[in-house]
Amino acid sequence: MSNSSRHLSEWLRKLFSELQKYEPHRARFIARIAGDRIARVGLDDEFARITFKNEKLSVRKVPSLGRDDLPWGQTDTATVLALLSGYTALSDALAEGTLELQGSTEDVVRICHIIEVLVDASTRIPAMQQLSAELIDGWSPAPARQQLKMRSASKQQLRDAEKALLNRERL
Amino acid sequence: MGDPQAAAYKDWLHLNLFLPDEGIVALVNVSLHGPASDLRSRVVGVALAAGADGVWYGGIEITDFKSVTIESKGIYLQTVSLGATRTDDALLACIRFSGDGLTADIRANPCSQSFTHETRFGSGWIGWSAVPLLELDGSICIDNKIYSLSGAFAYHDHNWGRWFWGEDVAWEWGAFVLPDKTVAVFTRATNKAHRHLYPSHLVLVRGNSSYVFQPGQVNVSLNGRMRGVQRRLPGALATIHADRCHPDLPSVVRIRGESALASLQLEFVGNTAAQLIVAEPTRPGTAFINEIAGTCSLLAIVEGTQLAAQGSGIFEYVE
Repeated sequence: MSNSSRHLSEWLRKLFSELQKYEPHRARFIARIAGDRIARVGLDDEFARITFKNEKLSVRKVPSLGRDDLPWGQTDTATVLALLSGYTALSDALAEGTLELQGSTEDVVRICHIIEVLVDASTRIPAMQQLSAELIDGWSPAPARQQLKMRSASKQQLRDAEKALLNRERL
Repeated sequence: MGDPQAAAYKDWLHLNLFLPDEGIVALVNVSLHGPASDLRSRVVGVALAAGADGVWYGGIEITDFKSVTIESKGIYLQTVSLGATRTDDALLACIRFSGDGLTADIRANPCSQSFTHETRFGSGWIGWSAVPLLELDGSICIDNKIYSLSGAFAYHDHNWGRWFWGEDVAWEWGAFVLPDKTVAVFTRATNKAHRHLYPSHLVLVRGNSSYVFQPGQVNVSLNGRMRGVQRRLPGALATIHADRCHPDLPSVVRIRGESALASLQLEFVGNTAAQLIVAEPTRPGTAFINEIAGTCSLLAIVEGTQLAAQGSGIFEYVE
């Protein structure tokens, strides 16, 4: 991961431990959402295997996302930073393939729900916000900002073309 | 100390900049959320500027009370600050979101009377003190292009009170700046769904004169629909509130006021919108502050004199 010497697995452990410390009921809620499921997550070239045992988080470094049926999610640091800085929307990251989620519908919904609980709790837990600040520190938003401009211009072009088509067809 | 509603503490300073010749509208806001004694309480600084192309430049800084300087008339973060001069004769603002394409050094000199209002709001109350018109000096740099602020105008207010983000309260507010030192300011509190509307407040300022319209003298209609929101901050909250990326925002706002001394018809047309997502730091709760920048046209009769003017404005629609 850029901007930090922490491995992805360490980030995940740290995030969850801060949640356990300050809002333990939400940490238990996340464990219940996950149940006995296993998932893999990848960020750049770092991968981790995540599961819960008796409501305790277990995170292991793994060499890849694997080729089995376990659900997985993958993205890169640039996308995470662009999301955190409001230059990319989640829908754009998914549509452009810079963030991928793979699994059954139920698995993907549960992964998203866990992320939602974590991010919501982070607004009340300064230690989690500090982890995010460490990730962003030193990052240049210029490329993401340029991408947002291009994406906005592209969407406007599509809208203009659609309007022209509708006008031509008198619709 | 000794404030039974301290947990709900809110306080902010706000400044809007209008450069109608360039088609630029900007906002600077520094705010305190929660009591200083609670380590979870946050200080938020945001500065955003939108040009005629509809792109929003700038960013947001969220930090704790110990990392900023807070004075009785100013809040100073690392990337954005806003406060009164020591002689209390002007506002100074500084923006340093260089990585996000926005920097500025601003001096705003009041050139109109101020007015103050307090009212019940949600579980608590809100106070509002506004200086509707200020003359600007300094410069703003947007996407590597520098604009002089000389000859441009601003609106400023200070809000404070006790309520929790996420309660069933919201508001609509607009500031519309026109030539010849004319500005119209509108606001009304609502519930989150904007179905329950509290009395409207409208004031027209022209130079040193102010014309206040009583609630029964104001008519407002929200029309059309904005095409989504171009920028949402902070990004993490935008990600988990994807359902709010296309809020039902009006694209046209029409305001009419009729009093014994003045009548006005104002039409505001939105060009681009940004969304600020504010989370309550001490308990679950979120509000969505939608900032719509655009142009406006005014027809008015003020003490027998007819006015017709065009300018720029900003309309805030909170959910």
